[in-house]
Amino acid sequence: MNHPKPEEWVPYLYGESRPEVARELAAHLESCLQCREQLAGWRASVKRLDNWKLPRTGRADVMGVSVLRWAVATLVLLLAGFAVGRLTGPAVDTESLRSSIEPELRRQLTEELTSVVRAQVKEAAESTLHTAAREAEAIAAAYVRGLQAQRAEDRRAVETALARLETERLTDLATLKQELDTLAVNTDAGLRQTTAGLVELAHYRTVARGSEPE
Amino acid sequence: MNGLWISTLALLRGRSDEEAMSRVKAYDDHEEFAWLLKKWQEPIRRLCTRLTGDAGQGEDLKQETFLRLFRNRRQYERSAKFSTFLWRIALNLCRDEFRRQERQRQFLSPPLDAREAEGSEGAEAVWEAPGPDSNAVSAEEGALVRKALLELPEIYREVIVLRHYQDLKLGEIAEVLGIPEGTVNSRMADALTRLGRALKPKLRPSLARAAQPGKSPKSLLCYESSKT
Ligand SMILES: [Zn+2]
Repeated sequence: MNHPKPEEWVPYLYGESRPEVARELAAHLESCLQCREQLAGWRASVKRLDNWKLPRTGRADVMGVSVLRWAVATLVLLLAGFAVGRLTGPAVDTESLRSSIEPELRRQLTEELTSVVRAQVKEAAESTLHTAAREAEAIAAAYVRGLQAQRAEDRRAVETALARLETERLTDLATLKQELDTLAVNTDAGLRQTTAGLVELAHYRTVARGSEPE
Repeated sequence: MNGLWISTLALLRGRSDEEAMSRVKAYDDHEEFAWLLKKWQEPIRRLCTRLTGDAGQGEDLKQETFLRLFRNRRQYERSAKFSTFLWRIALNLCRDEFRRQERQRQFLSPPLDAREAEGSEGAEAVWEAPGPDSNAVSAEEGALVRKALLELPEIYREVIVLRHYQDLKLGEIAEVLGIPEGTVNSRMADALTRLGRALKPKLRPSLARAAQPGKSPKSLLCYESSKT
């Protein structure tokens, strides 16, 4: 018997073959046990696919995790940028800061982030920046760990970063905030998310500080 | 319901995905981008979760997809279907991710059993939590399907996921994958045959010998993926 090819059966299986083709195939099925069995086997497989269910929706917060990641990434880079800016000039060059940060925000590559921090730090004088560099790297490392692990780790990385920030001497939050505002205005959707994340972080920070005994 | 709400919204706005994406392309329109994101993030998350078999990764890849969509906005052609453009970005990211994992596995290559035991915890997040009227058996069955799919070569997994879980027509799959429809069909036939083989429960000979009437038959079953 001349059996239709497997690929001819597929549209039939999914009810997508043209009516005249479907009629022919149905007629063949009537008289061919072999093809009937093949089709039944496929139908059984298709049916079993239904058993792998996913939760209806993902995480409640739409881009929550990436917001956190970007926020931490921004903080890390800003800290490094801040340290450099403080030593090399009176004002931080927002434009160059932004242009160095923006490509990184567009990616999730953890190692790259660490190396960017390192590269930025290297640019500056070694001795004075040593401490800041270590701090920034520690935060970057925490961030990297957060990325590698799951959500809980993410949060922990943020907490580590925040805890470090608390004790950091770069506490000029007003300036930091201004920098971030400028960043946010100047850039696009991705960075809008970052701003949201930083507002969240700032809030988190306030809460964290509020709960600490002075 | 969400889908209905969104399509109603689309009608009210009187703007198609293609128009929205064109505005994103031409004016970096954030609102249009946010609208597209809202509408498509769930299908993309599900696609990425199905293709990687991991909910966390599905979420990450979804985010990466939209980042890339925005980054590549200038490459969008108004004449092209937006969904095709978006599916392709997501598929490519999933392929990259899968290849990265394969490389990692080759380097680290823990014994298969250890990997499965390790993977089972992560997999749990992927299953729908067993509700009062569903049972553990269906969760187990879901895990088997997931595992069988993950063991299929990428080209087979893709057609199955796109047709079965994303509900794309065979012609649309051909468009997204950039291959002839006939190829999609033959891949699908192969995929279903392989899947059927992988899901076929096999009686382990040693256990079969030891089988006693009255014992739970479940413990005697071992699902083996066929080596092809
Ligand atoms: Zn036949």
